[in-house]
Amino acid sequence: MSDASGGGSRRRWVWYWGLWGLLGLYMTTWDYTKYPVPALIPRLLLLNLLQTGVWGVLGLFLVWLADRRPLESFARREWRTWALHLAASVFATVLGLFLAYVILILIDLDGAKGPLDLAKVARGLPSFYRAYFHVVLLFMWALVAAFHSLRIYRKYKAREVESARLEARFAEAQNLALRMQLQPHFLFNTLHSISALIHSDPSAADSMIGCLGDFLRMTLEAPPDQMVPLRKELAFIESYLAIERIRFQDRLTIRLEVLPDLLAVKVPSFILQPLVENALQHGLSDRPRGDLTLRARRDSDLLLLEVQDNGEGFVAGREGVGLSNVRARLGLLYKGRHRIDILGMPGRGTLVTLRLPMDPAAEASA
Amino acid sequence: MTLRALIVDDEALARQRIRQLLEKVADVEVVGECANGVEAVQAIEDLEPDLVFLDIQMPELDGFGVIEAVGADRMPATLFVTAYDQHALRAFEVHALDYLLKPFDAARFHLALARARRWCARETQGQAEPRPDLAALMAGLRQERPWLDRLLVKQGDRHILVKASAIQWIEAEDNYVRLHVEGTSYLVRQTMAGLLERLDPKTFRRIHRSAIVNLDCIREFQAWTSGDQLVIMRDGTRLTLSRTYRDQVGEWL
Repeated sequence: MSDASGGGSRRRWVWYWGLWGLLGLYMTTWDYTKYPVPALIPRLLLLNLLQTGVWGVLGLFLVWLADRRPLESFARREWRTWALHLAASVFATVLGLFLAYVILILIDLDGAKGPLDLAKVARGLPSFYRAYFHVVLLFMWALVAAFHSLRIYRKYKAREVESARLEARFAEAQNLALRMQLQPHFLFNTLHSISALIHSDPSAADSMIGCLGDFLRMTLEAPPDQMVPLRKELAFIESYLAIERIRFQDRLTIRLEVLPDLLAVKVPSFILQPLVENALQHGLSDRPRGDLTLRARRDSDLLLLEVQDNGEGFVAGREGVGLSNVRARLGLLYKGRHRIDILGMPGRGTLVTLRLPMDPAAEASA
Repeated sequence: MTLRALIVDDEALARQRIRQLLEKVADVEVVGECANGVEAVQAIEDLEPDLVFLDIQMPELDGFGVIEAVGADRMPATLFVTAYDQHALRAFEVHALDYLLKPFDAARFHLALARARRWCARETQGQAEPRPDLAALMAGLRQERPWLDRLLVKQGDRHILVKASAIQWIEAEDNYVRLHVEGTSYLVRQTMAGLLERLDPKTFRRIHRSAIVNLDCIREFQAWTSGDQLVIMRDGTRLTLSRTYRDQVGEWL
């Protein structure tokens, strides 16, 4: 009951009094078994609703107390709190039953008219307590128990939400770190290539600077949510390859095979670049000519992204930073619902295939 | 005195950049260029340059792997070149080594070159400066990367890169060790203790005064005489697990 915000607070009051009202109706049916006279029903109803109303007010006192001194555990050192709630519920029951009896006299079911007679109250009270004390005490305990279950549930819920949020933030930060890890190396090497080209081939240096500008712009514009349409990822790769093409000086042939209806599918941003970088570095760098093929296909609800080179062929157990980085990022984003296959054909090249789920859940969790 | 220089970088344009800068320098002659670590080790041994421009990040065998293979004490004067490697830079700072960060301008390059000249100068010329301690650098790096994942072995006049995980077992032979790798073997000038220190103990254990095995290549153990055990490798080779080493091996049995 601590966060009494507008709508939530009204709904809680409706629930609280609604349940007491239902209890009043229930007690009315009980009384009807004792006084099975249809004409008495309105009076029985009024009597019981008033009685449960009084108990409801006393119940608020118990809830207030439970909110201030909640039971945290069954530990022995908590005995004072348990004793306090036991005493409070007994007190509320005693007082509640007294008031209920007074109401009973005032409603006057037997039709014996007359002013409130204290002697009559004192005479009937003991048998009234004998009849109802244990039941009403149970109601009060149920109320305190209900309050505590609600409190524990809320706490658990809040903790769950918090841990989910922490986890998401952690994954995001880690993802960002992994993404950034790959950029500086490429950036400085490109600047270095430009400084070499300035002297030997100024126009190539010129266009490399232009390409680097495009590349950096796309890096800076990368959305914080980390998922981008495949179209955007491919544009990014194109700007990256434009730089590499100059660096490899016409030794590089690049093929792009992408189904047009896949261009809108969301993929983790910058996921292809490390794979392409690997293909160029391990696959093509020592050869006079190199072919690089990028493919996007679909296999039922999986998106298949393939990077293929015709270099020396991947040797198992020789995984570089780039690939382990991709592995780590996909693990964070898809939690095992993805697959990475690396097929090395000695002397004929390497084929890396990413299988990524395309369902909305994957995009939502990213 | 003319300095004979070797340029090692996997990127053609990066090599070209250093070549361009050295063209204007009268007393430095470029004797070779290498595009990877294995070529570099070969060239350092064959050409015996005075000075090496050594790129750190290279596929397969990187710059530090080159030093490891050649031996820190046999390396010529070395100028490290790197684009971005915080790990390496920290090590350079600790050991006060000179390095070139890509991209570098002519002024920065000539400053580094001047320093390298002093390393190569003879004591008598009065400008000599002691060379940076590569052995200490490698020892420092070893603390962070203690285990070898590749070894460069010399076979005749060729260098062959051997993956540590491909070594099945290692046999002592006088002052050498013999690496048994998938049907063939290589002789390496190393001591058993020295090599064992650099191999990941998760995979490699000594089982005898004259044998280290790759645990992944063992098929079975058999009881043998007087407390010794017979180790049978996947390819059928039979080795002895001597009593002296049984306790060490026992930890993981």
